[in-house]
Amino acid sequence: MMFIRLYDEDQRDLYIQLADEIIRLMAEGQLKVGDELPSIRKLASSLQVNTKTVQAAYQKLADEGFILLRKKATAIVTLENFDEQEWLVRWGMIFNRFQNECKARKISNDDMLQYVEKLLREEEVK
Amino acid sequence: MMIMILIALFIPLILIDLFTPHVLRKTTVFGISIPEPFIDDPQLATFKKKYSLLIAVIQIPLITILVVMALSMNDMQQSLLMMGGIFIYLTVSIMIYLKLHDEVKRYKALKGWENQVTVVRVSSFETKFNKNERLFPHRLFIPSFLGTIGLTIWLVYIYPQLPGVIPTHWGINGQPDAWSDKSFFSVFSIVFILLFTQVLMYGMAYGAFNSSVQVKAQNAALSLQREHETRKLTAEIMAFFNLITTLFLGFIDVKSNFGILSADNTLSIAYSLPVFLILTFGVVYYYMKRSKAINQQFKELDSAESSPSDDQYWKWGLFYYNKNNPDLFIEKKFGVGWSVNFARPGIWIFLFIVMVLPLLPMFFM
Repeated sequence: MMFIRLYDEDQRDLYIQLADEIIRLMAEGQLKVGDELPSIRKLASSLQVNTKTVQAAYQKLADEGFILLRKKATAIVTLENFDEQEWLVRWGMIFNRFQNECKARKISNDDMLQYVEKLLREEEVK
Repeated sequence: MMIMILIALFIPLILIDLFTPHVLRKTTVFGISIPEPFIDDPQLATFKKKYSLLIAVIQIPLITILVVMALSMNDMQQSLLMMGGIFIYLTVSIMIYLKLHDEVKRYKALKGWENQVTVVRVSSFETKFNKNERLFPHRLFIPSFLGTIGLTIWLVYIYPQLPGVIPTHWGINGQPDAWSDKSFFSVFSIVFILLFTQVLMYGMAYGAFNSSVQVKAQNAALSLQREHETRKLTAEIMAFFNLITTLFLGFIDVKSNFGILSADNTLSIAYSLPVFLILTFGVVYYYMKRSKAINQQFKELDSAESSPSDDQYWKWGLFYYNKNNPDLFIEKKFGVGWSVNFARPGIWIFLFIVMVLPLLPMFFM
């Protein structure tokens, strides 16, 4: 049984939270390649959000290459069209910002990597 | 006879009214959404007791007066009294409900519950694969369909033996009061009525079963289980009610035709109607009992999380209007059973069919 939870208090927009939750389900292996996502209207009514919110989340995932939006409003999990280059550029920018913030605060490269490693390990334990 | 029907009807009605608020889901009290951290607030139990008390002290004397009045009346007057009595009874019940609805609404606003919760929107995220695990029990609707086919075959078989003019309606005393020429319509109308009822009940059960599931923020797994159990229970109850309705109407038709074949035109439903009413209320009793068992499992957890309120989509907690919800059917906010989403154009077609189609035979006869 998989649940997704969106918080009204969260700083992220609802559609970003939803897209992040779906990627979490993929990361946990609950959603596999080839699975069909719930229809936009069904998911919107069960979350009690506007259909536009779900649509935006699916569109974001489709743009990033995690799902394929087909006709008849079905969405399939797939990694076939994944744009590796685009992904690297996107995360490159995020890590670059992180690195710059660390440098600005005079955190050494070793400490920075240790911190990242610690974060990832905590996530594994969860 | 009428007095028996009166009592057979009102006693179960009063019992249902007395118990209804106590068997419903804890997150909705008199049509008002209660945020999850506060479902065990003692004042809510007081409101429920007050409702039952009001029903008891107003409705029981009302029914007693009706029965006493009926004692000195003839059949015709008793029928009218019963119609009027049902109308007054239902109006009074709704007024008592609206009073409590208003009190809970004000209590909730006074306590400012909505501002103290963390709103969480939870979905069970059901993919195609998960859905296949719970399929609508189509087969439960087969027996009544087969019964109707059987009746049709029998009617075809006896058709040549029926006289040219046949009774089509009977008074409360069992004597025929309307006649019609033997025709395809006058003999087989029952088949269409039965098929119509079955399609309707099947459609409603199917719509309710597949309506989207809204999961609570706390106890999500239990809440999801509750939703699935309620849907399954609804489908079973509808199938059973469909079956007894088919059997009741079919039995009356067979009985009247048997009478006609042996030159006896009277038709009494003195035994079959009470049996039907008892079975119907038995079904309602079973539904309420199971609902209570399913709903009482929920306990307040030590958490401020709650799913969002849907009060803004409900007028008086009775009429649902939500353009964002694609479902035609939605579980009622007060009372056991299902209601409709008035924001869906499809439901207006459904209501039109339910209201107008039963009147169609009048234009052909």
